[in-house]
Amino acid sequence: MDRPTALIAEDEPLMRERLKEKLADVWPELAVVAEAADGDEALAAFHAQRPRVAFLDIRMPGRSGLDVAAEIGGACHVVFITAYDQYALKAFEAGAADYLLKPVDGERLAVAVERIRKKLADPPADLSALVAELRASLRAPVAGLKWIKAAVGKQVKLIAVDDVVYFQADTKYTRVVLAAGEALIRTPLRELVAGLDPARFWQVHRGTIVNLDAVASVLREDAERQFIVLKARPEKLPISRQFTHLFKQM
Amino acid sequence: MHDAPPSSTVLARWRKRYAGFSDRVMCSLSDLERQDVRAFDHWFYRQRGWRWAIALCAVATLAAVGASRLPIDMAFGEAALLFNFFAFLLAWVGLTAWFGFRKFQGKMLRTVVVTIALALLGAGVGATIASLARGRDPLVWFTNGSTLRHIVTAVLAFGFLYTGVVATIATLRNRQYVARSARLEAEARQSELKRRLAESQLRMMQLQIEPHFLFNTLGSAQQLAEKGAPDAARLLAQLIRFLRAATPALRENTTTLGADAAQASAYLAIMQTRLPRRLEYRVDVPPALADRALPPGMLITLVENAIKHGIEPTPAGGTVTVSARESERDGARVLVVTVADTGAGLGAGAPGQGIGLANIRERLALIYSGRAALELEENAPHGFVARLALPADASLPGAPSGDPTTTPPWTDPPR
Repeated sequence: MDRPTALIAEDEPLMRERLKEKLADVWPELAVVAEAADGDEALAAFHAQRPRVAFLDIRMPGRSGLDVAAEIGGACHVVFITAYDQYALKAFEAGAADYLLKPVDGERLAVAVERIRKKLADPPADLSALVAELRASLRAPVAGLKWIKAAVGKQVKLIAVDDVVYFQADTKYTRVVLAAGEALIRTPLRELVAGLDPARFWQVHRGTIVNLDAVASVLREDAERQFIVLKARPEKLPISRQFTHLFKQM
Repeated sequence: MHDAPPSSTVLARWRKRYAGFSDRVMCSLSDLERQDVRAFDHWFYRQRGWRWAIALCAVATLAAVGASRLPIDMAFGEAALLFNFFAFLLAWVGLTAWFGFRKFQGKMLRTVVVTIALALLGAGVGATIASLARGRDPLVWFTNGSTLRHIVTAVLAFGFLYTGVVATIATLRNRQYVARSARLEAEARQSELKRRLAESQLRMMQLQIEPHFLFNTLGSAQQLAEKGAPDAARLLAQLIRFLRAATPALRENTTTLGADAAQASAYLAIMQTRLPRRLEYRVDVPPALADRALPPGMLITLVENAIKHGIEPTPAGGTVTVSARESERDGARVLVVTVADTGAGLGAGAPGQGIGLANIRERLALIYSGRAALELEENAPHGFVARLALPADASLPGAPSGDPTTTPPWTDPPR
């Protein structure tokens, strides 16, 4: 029978070296045929060498371990490597996937290797469901939009959402108006709404979202027409009729 | 439609009307005034303050007994009514001034003039009625100089008594009110700032040491040690330096730029060992600026961000530069601390989250009240720049020289 072959993808050389040495101890007949320092390299190495087992670090530059697993999961046995991803660990347990914890420890590695050896004869398990779940859990929880990437002159700056006085739809762009100055972004108002805290940012017009912290008062011209007076800017923002109810007296 | 309400419902209706009236009055008062009114209410009804009203009535009646003995044209009944009327009027005036002092503020002169004018009018009308009742011609009676003099004297005396009482009480109370509300407001603001700063400090601590960083660093050290490489001891020494700087700093309100730069150096050295060939770094903090005060954790957060979002996502890596300069901005001296990387830049990262950056911004706003800024922009040709601009003259409150119990970190730096 052929010697089993393996690929190790891990971006930190010391950790890669460590895994390789420990594997040599507990699984001497395994041939590590390829090493990769990032996801793209890992993919290329896989296609070149076709190893039976792939050890994939989850966090890698370029394509992540999950991205690589999604592509090669059906063609070889994947063992994930992670230092600390509590959600990932839960998912591994639930999905009965093989995984290793960094820094790799000899005894634990021996147990994991035993499991993999038993599976080698079987066709690799389908990982797509697990990968999808892991991708979702590893993505940072969306805590609302905190920063806006905006072009100011030739530069791109990060503008804190708290600093925005109001957003205004402009033909192609959205104007981000600050107490001093303004910037343009390409994200349409409709998409911005989803990321903004509804308790602080109110849509007062089809084309205007205003930061309540920046509102000085509401001016009532007559029953139909109301305007928002801002603290830090001279212009007044019209409130369209469908939103005037927002400013009814309590 | 309805039967005539029985007398008990008439009473109930009046009570309801009174309740409505008192509600309106209470609504028109400020919080502090309302507190005062409630306290008076409590004293009057629960602590039997009404006994003072009885005492006042008794004193006025006694005085009337005395007055009726005097050889003036007044019977006991008249005198008792009159004295009680005046006593309660004065008490009412006093209470009005005591609780309604803000009404009189800035309108003292008007109050005096209106009071005396009304009193003169009332005296004139009263005297006219009295003279008609006694069958005298009021015009003749008025032209008698002494009557007019008496009336004017009485009116002036009463007017000045009334306005004097009102003015004194209102002025004193107003001064007290202003001081009290200013104090309360300041206390509320302070405790709010203190709470928010404590909260954001806490959140920063939670962000501070990443398990990923610890496990990977320890794993690297272990690997080096097993190989017998001398680098192992060096890596552990850097980790110790980093951890030491990270731990006690959290309990202090400030660190120095020098200490934070040393921590950043240790961190970058560790990362360089772990990511050889992918990370270059430079820490450039002039010795002259080393003892500048800095809120803890800000610099290291920026450096960690540069690694995590700049260097680690790019296979080729890049350079992280930490530098500090003092410069002039809008006429003020500012300390500018810059962390720049040549890594992935904004395109790869996902701003929108930026919890660490948001925390820095929040704390800057709380500590420096608008005089400090965190500026973020793209680096050319790629990468990211984060710049802390702090007022250079601010000896940060809570610095080692100051007593942290008397100079809380939220007080404004001296202007």
